[in-house]
Amino acid sequence: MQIYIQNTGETPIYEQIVSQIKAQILSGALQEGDALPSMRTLAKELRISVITTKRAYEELEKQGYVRSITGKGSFVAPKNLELIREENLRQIEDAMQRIVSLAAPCGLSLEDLMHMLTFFAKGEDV
Amino acid sequence: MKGLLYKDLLSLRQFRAMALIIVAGVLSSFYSGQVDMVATLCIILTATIPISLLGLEEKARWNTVALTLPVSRPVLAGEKYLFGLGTLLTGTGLAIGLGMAVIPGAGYETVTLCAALFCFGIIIQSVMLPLVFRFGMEKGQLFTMGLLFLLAAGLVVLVGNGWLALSGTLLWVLPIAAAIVWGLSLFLSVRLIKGLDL
Amino acid sequence: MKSAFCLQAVTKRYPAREKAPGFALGPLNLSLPGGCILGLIGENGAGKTTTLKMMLGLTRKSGGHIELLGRPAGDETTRAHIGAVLDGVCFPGEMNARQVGRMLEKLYPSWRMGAWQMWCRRFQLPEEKKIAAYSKGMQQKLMLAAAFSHDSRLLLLDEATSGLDPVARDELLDTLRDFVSDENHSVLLSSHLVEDVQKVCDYVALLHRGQLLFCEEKDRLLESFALVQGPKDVLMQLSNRRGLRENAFGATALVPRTQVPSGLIWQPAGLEDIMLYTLRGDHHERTAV
Repeated sequence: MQIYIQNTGETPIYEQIVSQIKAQILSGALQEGDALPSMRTLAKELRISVITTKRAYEELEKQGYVRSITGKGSFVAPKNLELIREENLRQIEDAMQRIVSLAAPCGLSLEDLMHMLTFFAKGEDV
Repeated sequence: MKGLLYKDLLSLRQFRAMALIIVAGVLSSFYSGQVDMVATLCIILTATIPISLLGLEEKARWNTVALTLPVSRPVLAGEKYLFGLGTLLTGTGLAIGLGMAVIPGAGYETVTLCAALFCFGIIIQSVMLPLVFRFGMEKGQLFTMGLLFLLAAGLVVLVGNGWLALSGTLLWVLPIAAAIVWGLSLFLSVRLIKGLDL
Repeated sequence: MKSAFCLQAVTKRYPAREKAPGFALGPLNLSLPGGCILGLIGENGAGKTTTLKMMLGLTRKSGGHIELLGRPAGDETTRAHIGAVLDGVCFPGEMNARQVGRMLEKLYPSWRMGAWQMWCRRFQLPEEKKIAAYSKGMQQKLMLAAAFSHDSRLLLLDEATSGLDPVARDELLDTLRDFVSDENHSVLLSSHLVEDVQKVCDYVALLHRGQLLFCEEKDRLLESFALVQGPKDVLMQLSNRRGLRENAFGATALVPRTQVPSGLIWQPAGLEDIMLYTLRGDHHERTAV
């Protein structure tokens, strides 16, 4: 498992950890049932506060990606299709927002966009 | 307490000058056949060792370090009394041995003299230790000299006026007085060290 | 959750005398959960050392309640589990490291001679050299070695790094991180080297003229502020600013991150920035003569 922390201050450290672990779970790099390093190990290795790693793990647990068992540690939660769906939905919405913002200056209409989307969805020229 | 005693034992290396003086005195008494002066020197000097140690510790702020260790304040104070007793007994033993060696026949006089000096040594320690605990080394030494001077002057007056005789009774009173003073002094020192803000 | 220490309403009063002004510390309410590192920062004379000394029982408090490792402070049996390094004092100068080890072996029930020798070697402290001949940095390392050589559960460090070079300090900070391996091991690090505190601490407390200005989780504290740059009159409008610095070409202010005005350049504030802006407040450059 690879985690890289940036100290530029734009994103809180715990959020960086949450998004990186989440990405690895979603991509399959971390499988269901895999043990995550303990909060203390993570804190020590990354040279950050254990309070922050704890906060990250709590957030991951809240979002359903991770399950903590007292005395044993934290493990990747069973792949929850609902979670993946929600995550993908979120990304689709973000992408759509970007498309709309980019389309306006190009003078593309909604019809044009639908046409283009159909092309991509069907994988052929319509 | 054992650790503190170990530390103080090691500190004795710093009293080389004192050891030399005593050795010189021992040699001179063999030469002269006189024991009294050397015995007095030996016992009084060894009596002051714990106080000198306190002075060194004061400069090094040892108390501040010692009280971060699992050592209680009463033990810190009490150890100096124990150590002082040890040095004094050693000095007295040395003086008695010397006396026996130089004047083979005068066993009783030597032992009596040394015993009396031992008691004086106890009294000196008992007076000095609390004063140094309370006032620090410099002022403590001054106060002690003042007090001992008063004591000596008082004795001279009492004996001179015949109210106090240097007799057999004194030989019994002295050890008891020394023991009482020592006990009171220890009690006082423990109280003083408990009130110390470092 | 185990508690490393807990100070409740602790006060210390030094009455004013002829040549010395009075000093009032507290009331302090400060506690640390087990397994964490607390950084205590503040100017010289703010009361950091006095606070540590009260925790160790070296100085009597005027009021309040102190608990260390769940027991009242001043209890010498608790000190068997405490490692303290205080500024400016060390073991007797006439002794050498080997003798100090022997002395401490007789004083600490849980002394580990092997650990002591290992730490002395690691810190490169010559066994036979008299401590009086050690440099300040070596003396600090000796005290630290002692703290690590028995069953310490709480380290109280007062300026324990000021004599060390940057490499040695970095190594020490790593050692402190290793030390807090579980809830039973905690550290209080009091230092004027704010960068060190920022690197290693979980909580930060700022002491100023005897008063505790804040005690926060370090990361949350750093996340909550921003240094904003802009024209002075714009920044002076920000009523929530903690402080402002002006120079000939503009001004910088410390503000809550949620209140950065749009359009202005901002960057994260370091711990030292937060401390300086908080303590110095608005600071206008004197015009050059």
